[in-house]
Parts: sequence; structure tokens; C-alpha cells
Amino acid sequence: MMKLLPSKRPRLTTLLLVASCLVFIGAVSQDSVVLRRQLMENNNSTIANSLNKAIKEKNFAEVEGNCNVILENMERVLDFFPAGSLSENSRAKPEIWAKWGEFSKHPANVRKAAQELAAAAKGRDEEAVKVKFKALGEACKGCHDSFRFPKPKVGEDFR
Amino acid sequence: MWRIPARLIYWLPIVLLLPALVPGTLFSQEHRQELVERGQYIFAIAGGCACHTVPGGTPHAGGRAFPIPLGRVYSTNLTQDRETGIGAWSDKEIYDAIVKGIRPNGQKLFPVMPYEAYSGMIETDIKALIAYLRSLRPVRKNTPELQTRIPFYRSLLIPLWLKFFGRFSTPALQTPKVGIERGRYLAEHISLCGDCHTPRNFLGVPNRSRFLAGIKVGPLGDEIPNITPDKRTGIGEWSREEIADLTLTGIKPNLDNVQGLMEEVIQGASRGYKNMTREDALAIADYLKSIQPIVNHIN
Repeated sequence: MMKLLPSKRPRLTTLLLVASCLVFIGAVSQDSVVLRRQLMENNNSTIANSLNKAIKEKNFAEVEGNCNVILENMERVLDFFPAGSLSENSRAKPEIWAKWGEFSKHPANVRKAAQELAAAAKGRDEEAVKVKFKALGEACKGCHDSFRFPKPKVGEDFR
Repeated sequence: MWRIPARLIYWLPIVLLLPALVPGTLFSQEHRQELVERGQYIFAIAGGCACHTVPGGTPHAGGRAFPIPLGRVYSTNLTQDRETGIGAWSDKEIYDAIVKGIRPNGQKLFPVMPYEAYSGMIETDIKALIAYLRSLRPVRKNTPELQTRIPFYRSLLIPLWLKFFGRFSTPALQTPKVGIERGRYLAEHISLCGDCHTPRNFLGVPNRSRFLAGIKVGPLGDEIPNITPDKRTGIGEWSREEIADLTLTGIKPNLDNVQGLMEEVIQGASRGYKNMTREDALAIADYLKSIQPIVNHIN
């Protein structure tokens, strides 16, 4: 059986170290994909639906509350996009990391729109609330249009 | 003092009457411009004829592939290039292609081009649309040939298909201006919601009993939502304002936005549903809320 020469051992150790780092990064990326999908689905299916319902019911306190959740979510959303966290389960485009400066402005845009909606709700201005709600949708769309792949075709993976 | 020569005074009435006597006068140019603008609006609410643009490619230059049973067909170059587009077609030939599916050489167009639905378009709207198409800058781009191994597809099978399954409409005399009837006219004959949202069988025949009920796997592989007013599986819970918002902006009530073919028809390569008036978008919404709800869970 072939024995490793002492001089080769450090190289093997290095290889093992690099491999385990890659596995770790991969695991973190996968976690990030899961977490950001949960966050976005939560934004759409829970917060935005609840926000919409609250606007229809003129429940301005509820509108403000939902805006605060969006503000919190957008505060941390960039953490869920570590470099290269692409996956067949993610609709994220590689452009996110190629144009990080541009991408990272979008959560701030969404936060600004959510703050303005919250302010309109605080002032109980029904018309302004409707306008700001649409502006919030536009802010979300701004990012999706540039940095999110369309839904996968049936039978294809996410990209 | 400056004087007009007497001889010129005799010519003055003729000079003043000239615009009325010569074709292509100021009046007819103004009329033409108005017609082009109306046509541009029809073009926009027809989704900017998005099928005639390859995503990311030259606007309206055709060449987009569409699957047909056992083959693939490509959309026509709609620009005014005389050799590769429709620049050499007469207005009558363009009219026949839009509402009858007949090319200038007599061949039948594949019913992937929704001429059955367009046959219900009012003549003045089609004329306006043709005037707008005439204004498209020529782009030289050949349309790829039909890809199929089936012989006599155009000459035999399409006429047979149309004989058994085709459903042409008789257009009304006047364009409905408001309300559900306006929405029906737009949705069924110009914006063509049913073209994508109604399921079809393997021969491409629409299942009219499931009109607008959505498709789990659409012709281009996408999931296509149920847009009947069913409260659980369709858009029954959406307000007319929300339906109009989606039509105009692509943004859903949950603040997510559509992508894919729906986004293409909203944006258009130049103009699309986004250029529709809010009144027309609301008319479509009212019409969609008036149709039969169908339970069909898509996603």
C-alpha cells in the first residue's frame, strides 16, 4: 500500500481543511436559501395579505404593525444573500453578487416605501395609504424584475 | 411699397385650394396620425403583440418559437421590412392575416396566431391597428421555417382543424364603450385572456367549459393561474381595483409581481397592457368578475 510521505501530509491536511470549508459554506448557502425563501414567502403570504386586508378594513393600527414587520425583515434580508448562495431551489440571479452595490439599495427602497406607508396609516389618510401601498409593491417589483428569475417552468428546477 | 404682381393673384385661389385637391393633404395626414395613435392603443391592449418578439430580442421582428403538435412554428416579423416583414403586404392582406389567418400566398396561418379571437374585433379597430403596424420601423430578420415532419400541415391539417374546432366571431358594428360589455370585447377579442388561461387538449383545442380556469402546465411550460371568480382557487377574493392593478402593473394584492409571459404582455416590447386606460382595465376586471366561477386549484 502506498504511504504518504511526511512532506505530502500538510498538503492532504490543507485539502481536507479546504474541503470542509467548502462543505460548510455550501451548508450555510443552503440555509441562507431556505431562510430567505421563508422570509420572502412570509412577506407575501402573511404580511402583505394582512396589510391588504387591514387597508380594506381601514384598520390603520394593523397597517402600521405590518409595516414594522416589513421594516425588520428588510433590515436583515441582505444577510441571507451570502456570496454565491445560488441553488436549484432559489430564483436568485447571479447578478445579485455581480452588482451587489445596486442590489443592496433595493431593501432600503422597500424600507423607505414601508415607512411612508406607516406614516400615511398613522395620519389615517385613507387615500395616501392606498397610494403608498402601491408604491410599496413597486419597490418590491423593482428588485424582483432585476434580480429574480421567473417561476420555473414545470419540471425544471428553479433556474 | 411692396406689391403682389397681378398674375400671382390669379393663382392664389388655386394655391389655397391645393391641400383639398391633392391626396396626402394636411387634413388626411392629421386623420392618419389619429388613426395610428388609435392603432397604437389597440396594439398596446393586445399585449404589444408580445408573441412577435423573442424575449430580449429586436421588438416585433418575430422568430419566437411556439410548440405545435409534433413540431414548432415561429412568429412572423411584424415590421415594415419589405422582404422579411409585412412591408410588402397590402392592408387587405394584413387584415386577412389578422382575422382569417390567411397569408398573402393563400397559406393558412397556424391557429397559434389567435385569428379566431381577433375575428371578433371591430373593423375600425383593425384598420387602426394596421395603420399602426405600418409605422413600425423595418427590421430585416427572416422568420425560421416551420419545423415538423408532418406533411401537408398547412394545406390539409389546419383547414381540417378549423373546420372541426375553429370558432370565428361576427364583430359588432360598434365598439362597446363602457362596462362589462367593453370588458368582454377587450378580454375576448383584443387582450385575449382566454388564449393563455383556458386549458387546451393535445390538439390545441380550447376546453370552453373551463374558460379561464387556468392550466397546471401551459404551452410554454408555465403554470397559468385560474382567473375565474372562484373564491378559493381563482381570483374571487380580489377587488376590481386589484385586478385592474395587476393588469396595469403586474403587481398582485400580496405585493408579489408576475413574471414570464404575463409580464411580457404587460410591458410589451414597446407598449403593452401597462398603457391601457384604467377604465379599460376596470372593464376587464368587471367582466372577469361576471363570468362563471370554476374550481381549479393551480398552485
